[in-house]
Amino acid sequence: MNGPDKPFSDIDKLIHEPARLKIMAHLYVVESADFLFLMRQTGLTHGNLSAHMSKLEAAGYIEVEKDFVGKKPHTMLHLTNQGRAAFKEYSKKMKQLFDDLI
Amino acid sequence: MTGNVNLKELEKRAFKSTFQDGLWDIQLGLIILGIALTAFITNDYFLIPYYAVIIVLFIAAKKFITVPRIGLVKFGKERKKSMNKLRLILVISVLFGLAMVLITKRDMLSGIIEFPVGLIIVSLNVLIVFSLMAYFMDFERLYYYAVLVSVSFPMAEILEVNGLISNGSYVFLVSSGIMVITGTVLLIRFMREYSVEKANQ
Repeated sequence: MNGPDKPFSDIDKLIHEPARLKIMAHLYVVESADFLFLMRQTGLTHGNLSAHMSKLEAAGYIEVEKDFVGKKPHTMLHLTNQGRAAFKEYSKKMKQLFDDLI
Repeated sequence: MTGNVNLKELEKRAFKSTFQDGLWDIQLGLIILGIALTAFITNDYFLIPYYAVIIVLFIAAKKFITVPRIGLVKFGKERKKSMNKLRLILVISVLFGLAMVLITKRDMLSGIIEFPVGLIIVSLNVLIVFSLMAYFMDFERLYYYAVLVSVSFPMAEILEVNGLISNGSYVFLVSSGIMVITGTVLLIRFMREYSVEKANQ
């Protein structure tokens, strides 16, 4: 797509969804976090968070690490390098878009 | 630029959420309570197991109360760097404190400096260490505790010297009480707000 709509179509729609944007932003500022921490920070429900996580994982933006805390299995989530780059690019493009609009 | 500021705020908020449980307040209050207890217990070495128990209880409470309620997080490089700086400051402060105790016990300062100078040094040390902890941890309440505890040292001396209280250590009962009560209120509020049942839903 060319013309005036191009900057809009360039925006990563996977990240642009508010719930996923929250998840990406929270994971961007930490090294890794577990599911419960993200649920508390984003205010999303278990089912909602799970569904968005699956989409982000399928896109290769987040990675799930399974390890043990004591004897209990524990799942930590972190942004992949691709996810970090995508978030950076997204925020750059959004900033550019608003700069151009004003 | 605004984006950077907001992400910083987000990280700060995430970090702050890990000590909204009041456990730091309780732990620091109990540490200060140790000073007050020296008025009642004659054996000075009781402070070693006392402080060890406090640290063990703090770690256990974080593991069994906080983590099941708000989850687990590993912070980024910047936060790790500032926490390492804080650890270094705490180690230096503890060594300085031990040196001060040793010097006072062996009466090495007699004839060199008067007692109030030592008192001012300890008081300033507490003020600086608590304030640096508050700064590196983005933990505003610690600034108030810094003032509260550092004022307690000269206050204890003044009240005892003027015969208003039989032992200056009682002053620390008040300051530690304020910290422990604040922490307990926060802990109860935290446990009500973040129930384990909700976390498992």
